[in-house]
Amino acid sequence: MASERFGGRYSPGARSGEGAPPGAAPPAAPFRNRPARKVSLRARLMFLLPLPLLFAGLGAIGRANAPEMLGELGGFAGLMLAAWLLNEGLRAEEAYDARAVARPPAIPRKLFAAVLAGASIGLATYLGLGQGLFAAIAFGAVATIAHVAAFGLDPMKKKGMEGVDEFAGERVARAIDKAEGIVREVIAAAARIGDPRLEGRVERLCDQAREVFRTVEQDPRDLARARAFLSVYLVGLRDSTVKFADLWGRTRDPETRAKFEALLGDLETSFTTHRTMLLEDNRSDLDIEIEVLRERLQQDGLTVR
Amino acid sequence: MNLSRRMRGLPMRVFGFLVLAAIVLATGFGAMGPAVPGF
Repeated sequence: MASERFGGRYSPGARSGEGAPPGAAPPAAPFRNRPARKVSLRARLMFLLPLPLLFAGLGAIGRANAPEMLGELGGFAGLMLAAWLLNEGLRAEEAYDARAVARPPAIPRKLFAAVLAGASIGLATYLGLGQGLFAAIAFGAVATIAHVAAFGLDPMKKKGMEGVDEFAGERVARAIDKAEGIVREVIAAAARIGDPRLEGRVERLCDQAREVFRTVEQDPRDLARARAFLSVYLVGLRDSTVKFADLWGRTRDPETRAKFEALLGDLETSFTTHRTMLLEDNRSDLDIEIEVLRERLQQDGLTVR
Repeated sequence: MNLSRRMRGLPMRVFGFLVLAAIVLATGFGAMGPAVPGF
């Protein structure tokens, strides 16, 4: 007796009205190019550790001791801000590590976090604990050094731009930053649809776009063509997803959904073929395809104009 | 980044974190001290 795949009417991928297994086979590697986000427990703990300072500040308010209150609440706020900067810095570092070509982050967040943590400790020591200036500076300096030892500094060097000329490398990094931004917008819009199956399809398209980013990073000469490709596809995908999410939220119109699904299908097929063309340096074919797609997007009225 | 490279810096990072945590907690509890009876 053959085993039956589990799935009901409300399972993701099930067709409405029947308990049949999903029609489309799942992709071979659904999590490719989607590394899990690293979460540093220690960096998260930095949000928790300053809590006693908050209570101390509240106690100081109770005793009507203004300088102490300022030192303690100021130190608490500074440490919280430092913890936030640190977590943002770690996220930026992770993005930097994931790419072949990357610029260092514009704001060295981890460095700022270390300095801010030291200053906050110094402030709390000076005003809150009533220690002298020397003790405050010493505590602050040790806290800054310990912060750097614990979490390190930001990546400061450009990566993967040695061989190619500086300007081209910069342009690639900037273009990919912009495209990554669009991808994030697409994923945020897809989350609003509230349909795991459509969301999954949109996310898979985004994965394919990311694969194109990696290709371009490896060979920045492709940028001009890739840019047209990315702008038409990604902007088209973003506009239609945003618009569909809005419409679907309001109307639940099956016709719009069918249209959107058809568009997704089109994008899926052309994404795959275009990626190959991009790799094979098949310029004119690609240009024609992009033109066709642009018209297709306009006809559907799913793009925001 | 391979595993051994990551592991090499680990003791230092843990030590740094412990020192930092100790300072932050000590400052907080030290400041709280007079407010908490018997602390």
